[in-house]
Amino acid sequence: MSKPANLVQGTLDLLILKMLDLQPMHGWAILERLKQVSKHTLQVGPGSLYPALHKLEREGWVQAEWSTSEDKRRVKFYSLSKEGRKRLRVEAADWKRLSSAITSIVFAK
Amino acid sequence: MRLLRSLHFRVQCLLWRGHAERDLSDELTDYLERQTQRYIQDGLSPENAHTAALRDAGGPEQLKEACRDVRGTAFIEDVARDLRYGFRVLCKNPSFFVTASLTLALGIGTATTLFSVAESQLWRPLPFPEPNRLAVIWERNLKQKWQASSVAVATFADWRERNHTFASMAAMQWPKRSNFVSGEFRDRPRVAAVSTGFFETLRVLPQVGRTFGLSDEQPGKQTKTILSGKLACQAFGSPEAAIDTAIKLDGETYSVAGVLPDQFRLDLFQTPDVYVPLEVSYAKSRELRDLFVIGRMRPGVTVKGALSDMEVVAQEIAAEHPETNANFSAVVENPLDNLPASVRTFLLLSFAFSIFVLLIACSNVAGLQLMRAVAREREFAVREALGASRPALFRQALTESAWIAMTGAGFGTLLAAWCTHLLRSSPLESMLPRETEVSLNIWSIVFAVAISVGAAFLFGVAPDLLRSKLNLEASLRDSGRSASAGKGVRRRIEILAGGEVTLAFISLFGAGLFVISNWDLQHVPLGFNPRNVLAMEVPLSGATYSKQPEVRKFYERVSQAIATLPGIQEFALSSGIPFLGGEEVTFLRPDRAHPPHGQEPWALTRNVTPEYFQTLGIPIVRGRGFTAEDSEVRPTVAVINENFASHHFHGENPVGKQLAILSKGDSELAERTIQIVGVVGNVRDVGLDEVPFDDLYIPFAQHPLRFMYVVVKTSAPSIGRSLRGRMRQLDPAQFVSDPKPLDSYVGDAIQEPRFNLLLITLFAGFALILTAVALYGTVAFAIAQETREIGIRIALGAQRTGVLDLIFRRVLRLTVAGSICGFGIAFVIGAMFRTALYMVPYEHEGILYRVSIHDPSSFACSALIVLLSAGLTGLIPGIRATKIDPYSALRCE
Repeated sequence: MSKPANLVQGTLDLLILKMLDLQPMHGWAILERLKQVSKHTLQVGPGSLYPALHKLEREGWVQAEWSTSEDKRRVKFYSLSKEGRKRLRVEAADWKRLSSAITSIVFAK
Repeated sequence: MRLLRSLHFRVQCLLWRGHAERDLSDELTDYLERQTQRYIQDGLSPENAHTAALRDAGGPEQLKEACRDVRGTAFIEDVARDLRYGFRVLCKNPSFFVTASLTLALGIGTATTLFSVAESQLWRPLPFPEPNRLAVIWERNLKQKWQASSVAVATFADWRERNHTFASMAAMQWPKRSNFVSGEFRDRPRVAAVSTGFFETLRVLPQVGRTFGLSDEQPGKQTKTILSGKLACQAFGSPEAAIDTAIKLDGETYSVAGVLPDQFRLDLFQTPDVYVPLEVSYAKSRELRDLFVIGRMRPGVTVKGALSDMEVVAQEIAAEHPETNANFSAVVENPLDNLPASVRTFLLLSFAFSIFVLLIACSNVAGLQLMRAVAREREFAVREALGASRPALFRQALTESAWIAMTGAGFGTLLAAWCTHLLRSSPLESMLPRETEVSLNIWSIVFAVAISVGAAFLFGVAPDLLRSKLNLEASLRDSGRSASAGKGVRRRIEILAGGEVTLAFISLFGAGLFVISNWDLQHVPLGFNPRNVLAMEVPLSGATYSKQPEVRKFYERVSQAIATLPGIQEFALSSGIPFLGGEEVTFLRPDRAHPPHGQEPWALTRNVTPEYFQTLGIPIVRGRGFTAEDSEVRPTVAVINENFASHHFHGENPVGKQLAILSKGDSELAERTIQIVGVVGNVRDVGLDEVPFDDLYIPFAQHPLRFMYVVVKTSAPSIGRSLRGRMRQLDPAQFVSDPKPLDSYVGDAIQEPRFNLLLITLFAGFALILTAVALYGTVAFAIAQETREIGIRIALGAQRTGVLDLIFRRVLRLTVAGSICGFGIAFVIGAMFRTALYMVPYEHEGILYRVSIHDPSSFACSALIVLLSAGLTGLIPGIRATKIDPYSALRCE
């Protein structure tokens, strides 16, 4: 499975959880939203996104629901579960500590 | 919680695999459609847009595979695939598959059968509720070699009253056969007197009616009886019909109070058919010890705790009744410890032998797997080169082994089920002394499964351990048939085969010991001549025969009746016959010091008519036998056997010496002084393998008993029926048994050792055959590996006999090494278990007789058999090797 090269290891889960915290979405919408929000800095492909989504679903952090689109296709919508929200808080806090630590080292004068 | 959900998710994916696949592909299609739309909006043509979307996804199949990996079901799916693949591979080589699984089935089948027998006989508790709270309690004679003895009634009454560790305690008198009469129905069932609460202690309730109450224990109140379900049906047609009817036991009238459940058995203590109340009072004897006592311990009490409690109680009793109980304490035992030790030893021994068969079968299959691994080395090398991971290859090897093991275990379990069924329905079951049925239960199945899992792992791992040492590049370049590549494998196969030879040698040696022991047993001097001798029980019961003159008169009529029958050569009356033991009596020599209480010598008595010694062919060694002169008006005389003479008269002439009789079951002989008039030869008193017993013969005329055997020597064995008819005519109310040839008692005595021999020989046979197959395989494999080398040798002018010599030397080396190991192990094991195998007087019976545990002829024979069979197995591939054509051998690679 190819990992997006420009993404710090383990941050994809955090990003997905954050996206879904805003509103329930299907896979394609998550990618679009990521692109928009990061202003095309973060390029995550479907090859990384879907396995990650399925993993989050298996862990129970994300719930999936099927509905039908306007042109009669089955669409899988993902939303954040209660545990997922908790997980998001934990991961976000971790990320904050990690990134500030890295920043303080890299930009130390 | 998370773990649970995750598991649920995986199971869902696995169960609804089709569903999950459709969802996955729908989700992906949705993404691709949307992305294509986006590219079209960006200005690409529809085809280009679709291609671009696919490119983004990095190939839809790879993406799907990545998602499937996340499901966490990949492992199970892989195993299923491996199983399918493994089965296909095995089916391509059916001869290997069939050989391996049948070999394993034989091993697992024998081991599981023996495990079931051992489990049901040795370890399964009594079939009553909460069996681990049951314990048996004996009196313990501190002054004798055999310590556990039966219990006297008054002592039992004290125990029951004073103990603190038993919730209830009950006693049963050792069963005796009595005449049972109910209307027209006559039988001679086992009758036992039991105390109140006997069935309550075991927690068995009658299927109809009641058990005995407390009042039934009081003197003179023994009027009720309880019958076994079987006897009630035979006598009355149904258990219900039996209730409250009157029956006669030895002339006494009883009314049937209850009928026990049909399945009630207490084989450890010879399940009686009829129970009568035991009279329990402190006034009864403390010296007549004939009770077996069982107790239900209070919850939480251990056997140890109960023992210390009982020892205290016994000390109190000893202090109060020093004249009878001074040297007696108590023993508390688990009921299962009362199994005959010979049965325990033999079952464990044959279980060990069946494990040998199993081990041999396992190493056989492991050897086969190794050979196959060499043949498939190239296949595995190619797969590894193509990117198969080591764990994947390992897993696949394991699943192939699992197939063999599962098939073997399946057939093995079937075989075991069939064998146990056979054992259950055969007369052999009577040799198994337990009330439990021999059957495949959950433990046997667990045992079989554990073995097969272990075996699968062994076979799976063995070839893999080997393979990891091989050089991938070398195996690909090599054709995989050269001698060098298989060297390590050959070493391992040889070690396996050597191990098998070791086990086979031990099995053969054991079988050899049993053969010799059996031979010796069959040729044991019996001390009497059983040929053409019939014995028939003619016991008397009822008020008519309560006095001696009537008894005397009846047996006189018996003698007269027999004398008139044609075809009778000799006949006699006797209160006992060889192989059936006799009444015990304690005695003293009046001319010697009185031994301490409890240590008086004892002997087996038989009351016989003067013709007894002649009829049975027992030689008179010294003095005289009995004559018609030894009548009731003359001084009481006795004849002893040679054992008696050597034990108590050490070289003195016993003839003319006096003996004082101390006690006996019935008191008429007690307190009498008798004179020894002769010494006769020893006879086998209880079995072929026995302690030398002291026998005391007393003339019937001087001391008539109510239970006598008629012993008849006749040239016409068919006389039995008319003999019995004649006896019944004398008094139709009395029971007369079928005349039984004395030969058949000897036959019965040899039956168990013969069965033991059969079983051990069977196992040794299996071991030998399987080992021969392994040796054959080893040699054939070595030759196949060395075809080129042999070809070169022949091309260079080696003689064909030289080639054969080479091969034989290899087989011989293996066999000799294995035999030497087997010899050493058998020697050590024999020394370790020596005492368990032979009879120890008053402790346990033996399963081997006379033969030394290190019998040299048995060693020699086993070695010879192993060598011979090894030679034969080497011959066929050896001859094939000499026919190798050097030209084709060198070209074929």
